[in-house]
Amino acid sequence: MLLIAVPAFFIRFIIWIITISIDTGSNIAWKSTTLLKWRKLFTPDILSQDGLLDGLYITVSITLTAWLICIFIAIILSFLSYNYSYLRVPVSILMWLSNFHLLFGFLFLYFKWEGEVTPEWLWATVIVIFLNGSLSGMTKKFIEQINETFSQKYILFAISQGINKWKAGRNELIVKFIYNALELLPFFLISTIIVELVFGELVGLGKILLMYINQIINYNYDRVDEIFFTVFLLITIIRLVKIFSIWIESRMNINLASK
Amino acid sequence: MESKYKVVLLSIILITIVIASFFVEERVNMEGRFVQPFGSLYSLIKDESIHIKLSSKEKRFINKNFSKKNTIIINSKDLFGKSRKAVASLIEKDVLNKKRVSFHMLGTDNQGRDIVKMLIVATRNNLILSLIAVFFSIILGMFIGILQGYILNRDTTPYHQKIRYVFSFLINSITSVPMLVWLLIIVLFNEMVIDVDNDFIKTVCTFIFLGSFYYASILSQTIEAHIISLKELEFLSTSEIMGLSKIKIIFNHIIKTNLGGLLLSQSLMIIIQMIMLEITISFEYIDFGLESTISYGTLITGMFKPHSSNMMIPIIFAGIVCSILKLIISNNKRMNA
Repeated sequence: MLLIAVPAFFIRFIIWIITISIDTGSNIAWKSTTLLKWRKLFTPDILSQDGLLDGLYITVSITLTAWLICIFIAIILSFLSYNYSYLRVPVSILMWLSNFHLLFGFLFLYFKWEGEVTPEWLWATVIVIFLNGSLSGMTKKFIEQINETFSQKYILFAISQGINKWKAGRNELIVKFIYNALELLPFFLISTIIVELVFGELVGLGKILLMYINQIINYNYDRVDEIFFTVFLLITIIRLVKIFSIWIESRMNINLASK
Repeated sequence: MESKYKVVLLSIILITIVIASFFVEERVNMEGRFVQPFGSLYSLIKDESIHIKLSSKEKRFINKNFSKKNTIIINSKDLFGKSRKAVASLIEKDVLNKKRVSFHMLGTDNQGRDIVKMLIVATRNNLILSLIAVFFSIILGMFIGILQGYILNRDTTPYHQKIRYVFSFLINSITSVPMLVWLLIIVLFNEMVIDVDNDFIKTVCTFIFLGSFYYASILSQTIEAHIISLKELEFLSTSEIMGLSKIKIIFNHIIKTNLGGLLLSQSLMIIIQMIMLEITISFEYIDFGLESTISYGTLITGMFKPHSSNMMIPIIFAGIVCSILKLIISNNKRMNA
C-alpha cells in the first residue's frame, strides 16, 4: 500500500507546488491561507474527478484485450517457430515489426485512410499488440521456455515411453507462460496510454492525464486532485498486476510440486 | 560473421551518420518544392530566340508558366503529369531547355528540405539528447547501485541496513510510476517552473530530469542485482582480505572488470527508449517536444502535410536506427558470453 501511496502523494506534492506557484485566479479558496494549503496537500477530494471511471474502463479493456490476444498469438508463433524451421524467418520478420514506434501503426493507418482511422478502439488494440515490442519479447521467451522444458529429463523419459512431449510438459509450460505474460502486462498498460493519446475518441487514463496537464499549462487551472487520482489508479493497476503475478507463480508452483 | 565484427560494423554505420551530419547543409531546395521519393527537381528555361508555331496545349502551358519569368522550377511529378505531352514536345522543338537541378532519393518535406539530409541531422540531434539522459542516468544509477549493492550491503551495521531499506523503498516508489506519467509531470514542471523559451533547452531539461530520476532508479536496481550476484564470487572477499580499499575494489574490480558490458547494454537501451520518447512527445497531438530543432519527432509531425508516402519515412528510419542499436546490444551480449 505504501508503494502506491508514496509515489502518488509525491506527484501530488509536485502538482501542489506548481499550482501554488502559478496564478490560478481568486476563486481557488484553498490557496488563501497556509493551513488550507497544507490541508489540500494531505486530503484528496475524491468528488472532484470527472470521467475517471470511463477512462479506466477504456484503458483497462484495451490493455486486457491486447494482452490476451498477444498471449494467444505468441503461443501460436512460438509453436510454429519451434516445430517448423522454415517458418522461423516469417515469424522473425513479424517480430521485427515491433522495433518500430507505436505511432508507426497510427501513421500507417492515417496515411492509408487519409486521416480516418476507425473504429479507433480496434486499431488501438492492434497497434498495442503488434508494435509495443511485447509480442516479440513474449514469443522469444516462450520459445526459450519450450526449449528449456523439452530438454528436461522427465520430458525425455516421457518421449521414450511414447507420450507426447506437449502433453508431458503442458503443466510446466502453462506456469512459465502465465508468469511471463503477467510480467509484461504493465508494458501493455503503458503502451495503451501512449496510443490513446493520439486517437481522438479514446478518452482513457492517458488522455485524461494529458488533458489535465494541458489545462494547467494553458489555462492555469487547479488540477491537483484530478491528476492525483489518475496517477493513483495507474500505479494501483501496475502494483495489482505485480502482486497477482507473484501470487499466480507461487500458486502454480505449489500445484506443480504436488503433482 | 563473428559478433565482434558485427558490433564494429553496426557502430561504424551510426558513427558515419553522426560524422556526416556535420557536413550536411540544412538548406531548403529551390522554391521549397515538395518532391516524392526518387523524385527530382528540374529547371525549364524558355529559349526566347526560337519563334515557331505552337499547338494550343503548348501555348497554354507557355502562357501559364512563362508569362512573368523565363525559368521555372518543376518537380518530376508535375513534369511527367498532366502537361507531360506539351512539355515533351516543347523540349523536342528546343523551345524549352530541361536541366535537372537536384535529385532527392527519399523526397523532401513540405518545406522542400531533402529528407535524407534531415534524417542524418535528426539522428545526430536525437543521439545528443539521448546521450545527455544516458550520462545522468549512469552517473546517478551507478552511484546508487554500488551504494545499495556493495557499500550498504556487505557486512554492515543495522543502521546501514535501515538506510539501504529507505533507499530501496524510494527507488521502488519511483519505478512503480509509469514512465509516461513521469515524463508528463517533468514537462509540466519545466513549462511552469523553469519556463525556458528555447525548445531545445527545454527538451534537454526534460531528458536530464528523466535520466537522473527514472532511468537512474532503474539502472541502480539492475546494478544492485548484478553486484549482489557478484558477491557470490570469491574475488571480492579475497580483495578485501588482502587489504584493498573499498574505493579500489569498486573502481578496479566492480566498475572496470564487471560493469562494462552491463553499462553499455543499459546505455544503448536508454538511447532507444529516449528516441522513442522524443518521437512521442513531439508528435502533433501531444506537442511537448522539439519544435524548431530537427529531430525524428519534428520530422514525423512535419510530414502530415502534404499527405504523401513521405510521412512514413522518418518513423521507419528511426525504427531502423533502433534496430541497429538493438543488434549491437544482442551481439555485444553474445561476444561477452
